Amino acid sequence: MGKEFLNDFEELILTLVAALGENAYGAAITIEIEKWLGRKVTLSAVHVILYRLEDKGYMKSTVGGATNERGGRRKRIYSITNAGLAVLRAMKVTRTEIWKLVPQLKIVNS
Amino acid sequence: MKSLPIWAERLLRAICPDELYEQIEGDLIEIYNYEVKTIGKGKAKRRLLWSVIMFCRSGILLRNKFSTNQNQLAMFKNYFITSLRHIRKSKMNFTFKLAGLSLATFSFLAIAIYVTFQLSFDTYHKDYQNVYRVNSQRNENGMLENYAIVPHGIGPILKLHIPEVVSMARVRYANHTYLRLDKNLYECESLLEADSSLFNVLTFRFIKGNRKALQKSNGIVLTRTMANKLFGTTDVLQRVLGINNDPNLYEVSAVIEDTPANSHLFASAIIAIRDKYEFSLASINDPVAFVDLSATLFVRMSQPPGRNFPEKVEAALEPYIKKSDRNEIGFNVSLQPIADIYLGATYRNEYFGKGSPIYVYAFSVLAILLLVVAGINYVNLSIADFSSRSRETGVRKVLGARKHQLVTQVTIEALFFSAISLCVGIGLLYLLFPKILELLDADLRFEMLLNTPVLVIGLSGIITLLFFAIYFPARQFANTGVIQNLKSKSGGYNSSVSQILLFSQFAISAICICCTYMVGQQIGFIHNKELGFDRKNLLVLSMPQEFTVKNMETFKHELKQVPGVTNASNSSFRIGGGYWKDWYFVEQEDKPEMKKVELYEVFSDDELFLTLGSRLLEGRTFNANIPSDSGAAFIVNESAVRELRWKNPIGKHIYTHPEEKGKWEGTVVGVVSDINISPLYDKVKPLVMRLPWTNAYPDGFIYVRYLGNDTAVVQAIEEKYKATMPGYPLLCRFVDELYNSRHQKESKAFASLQFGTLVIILVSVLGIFSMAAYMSIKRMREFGIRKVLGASVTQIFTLHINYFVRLMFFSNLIALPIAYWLIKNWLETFAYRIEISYWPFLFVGLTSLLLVIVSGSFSAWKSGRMNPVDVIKME
Repeated sequence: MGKEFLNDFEELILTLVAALGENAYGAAITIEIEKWLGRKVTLSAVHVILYRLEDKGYMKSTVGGATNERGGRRKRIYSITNAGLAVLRAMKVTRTEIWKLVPQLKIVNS
Repeated sequence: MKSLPIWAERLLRAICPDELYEQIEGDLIEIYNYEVKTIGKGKAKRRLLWSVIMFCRSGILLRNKFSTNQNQLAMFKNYFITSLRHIRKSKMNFTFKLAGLSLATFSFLAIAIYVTFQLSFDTYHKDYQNVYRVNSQRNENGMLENYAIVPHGIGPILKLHIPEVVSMARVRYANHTYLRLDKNLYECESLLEADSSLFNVLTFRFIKGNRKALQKSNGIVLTRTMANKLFGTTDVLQRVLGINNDPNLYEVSAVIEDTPANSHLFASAIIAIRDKYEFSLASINDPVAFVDLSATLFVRMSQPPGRNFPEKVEAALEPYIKKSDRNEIGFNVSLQPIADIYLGATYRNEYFGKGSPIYVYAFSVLAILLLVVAGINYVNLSIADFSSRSRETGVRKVLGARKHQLVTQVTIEALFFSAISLCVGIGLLYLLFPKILELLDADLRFEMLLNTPVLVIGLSGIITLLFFAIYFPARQFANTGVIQNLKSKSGGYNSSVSQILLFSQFAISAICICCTYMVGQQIGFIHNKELGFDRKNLLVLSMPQEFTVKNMETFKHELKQVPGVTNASNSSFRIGGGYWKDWYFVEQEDKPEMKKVELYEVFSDDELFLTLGSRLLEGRTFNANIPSDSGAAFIVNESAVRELRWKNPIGKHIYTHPEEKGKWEGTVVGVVSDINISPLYDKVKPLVMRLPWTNAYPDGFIYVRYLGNDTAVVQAIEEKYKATMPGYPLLCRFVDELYNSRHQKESKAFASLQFGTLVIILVSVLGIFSMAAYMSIKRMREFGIRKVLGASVTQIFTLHINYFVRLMFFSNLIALPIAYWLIKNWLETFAYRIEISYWPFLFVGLTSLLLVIVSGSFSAWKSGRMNPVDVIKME
């Protein structure tokens, strides 16, 4: 396959990281997913994907920002890289292209 | 919440990479705090638990950098590869090591299953430590006899006076019974009569009905098998049955599971006991009444009987029987834990199967010996093997391997071997399991391998084996110097450790060979023992209780008409079964007064001796034409003559039952040779035979002497029997077969012992073979130089084999006396036994030497025949 490919969960998390900006870290992303999708995900699943995407070079992380509600532990804040943005965009474009091929007005009734 | 619970912290620290830990912890705390606000504390806690557990996933675990461990892992890989390479190079050594270990594992597991099964008897009862059988003791002719039964009064008395006795149940056993359904009779192997409290004392699993089943006097409890046999289903509550020809009917009140294989008690059906619940102990004075008015008694205690329990029993018995009376007949009762019954000593009037503790011990010892021999073999071979790899060790040491790393290497190899041999051993066990059932015990199951005791024993055995297998070779290597490692092609074999190991291996094999040989001799002796009667071509038929005197006469007459039958007689004794016992008054040789003795008695007709083919030593047999013979003529056996110290037995005055004066009074008219009808563990008992009073007791057994075709005769007898006793199945056994089945335990144990010994010998031979091969390589250069200097092939051969022969010789010197002692002890359990002579030991000694020579000769021959040039130039 020529293009890099992400599965839907990876894509979702990458998008959220891009969207949350300064506030993109494990707990926040987990809570956001729950809010947006109404779906419970375990923290470890989110973490695993974050590490993987970082390994692939789609995001980078810095440590900082301890707050009281996390018992004074620092956050690992993620931010999307250019490569990550490119992949997201590419995927979106591909999907739109394919979507265009779907005969929009035809009602299949068989 | 400021921080995670301590367990979560520990778990996460263990699994998460250090650099990620802080953020993970923070995230978990943050989510928890968020969730406490949104969904409540309880739910948040559960979700936290779940989230923590979910961190145990490959995506997290594998992010750990094994920076320090990576080297170790590589080393493991390296050890493994070098081991594999080495195995490929020395296939023979590998095969022998593996074969030895696998055989030992296989035998060890088989024995572990057998032994734990034997030890598990009656432990399935709920709270079995508190269940006891009450045994009793009587003094009979100066001998203390132990009975497994107690008079009916004992149970109620103990229950009433001793508060620790929670409940008690009497059990009686009836054989030769039939259950009657409509007009058909079904044989009932074991009918128990028991108190309704039986189900509180012992544990039975109910399919239908409950513990109250025996409270109705006409209730009958069937086992699953019996219910299926009668009705084809277990759903049979309230169905009506009869027993034998008794007009009383019984109603099925419960159906229970069959008694488990590891139960000493065996039941097909249980009915309520008829004997009344009484407090009298009058029966203990009279030997006949004692047995008749007694039952096996099981009690459940609330606590173990303390040291003062005998006094408590004595105090309880005091109101019912005076202490002086009790002392006179030596009457005493004692408790035996139910789990000890099966392997315990044999008591009189025990109805059910007994195990033999001696075989359990013998097999346990055999299992340990097997492990020891296999362990020694493995250690010797590994030392030899590793020594030939001493350069590898040297190089490792030079490159900085530490002691513990070398030990790790040895450990890994040992683990690898034991894993493979365990698999092979279990595979063998699975494949050969039918054979094991045949040899050891038909009630064993392969699944028993998974029972906790088997696992514990198996694992501890294997761990011990591993410990030795690792300790010795590891010590060997770690302690040799680097230079020595590098210089010599092989070093450190001739150590005292190896010699001691080889020595004990030889000794164990010699002991095993000796024991097996002598056990074989004893078993052969039993099978061919002169029994005082001819057991070939003899049938014994058991008659039901309804068989009348008239039936007996006509049936015996009919039997004699059957072609092939030469004679038929009835008697009260059964081969291998019990006798009656009664008080007799006999004339003494030198004193005028009559002596009161307890003698065993047999009722039989006038032709019994003829039928059995036993010898009449003096006097005459009973004569049907002398009417006074029934009642006044007595025949005794040799043992009775010996016991009563009679010089002229014929004409001695003898009587019994003085209360019926003159009815059973007369003289001894004949002496017969001892008839050995109980197993050969026991001495022949002093016996009196008499005719039944005007044939009033149609006593239960008919002996038939025949010639020619077995099946034809049995068929003809069956037809006659059907005509006489319609509806009753014929119970007919060959005496020869019956006799051998009594000694089956010995034969089976012998076969297993033989197998065990064979394994031990095989393992030892494998050991000698490969040790010899190894030694020859080690001394190759020496042999080469000797050859150059003019040594012949024979000289080299002897030189080489000498080492092993010398070891074998000295080990035999130690082993043979031990074997002698063991065999002597075992033989003492038999009343009739072979004499131990010395030549079998000599024979074993020579055989073992021969074995050494044969197994060592291959390599000795090779080293004798090699070309010295090839060896000397090697460097």
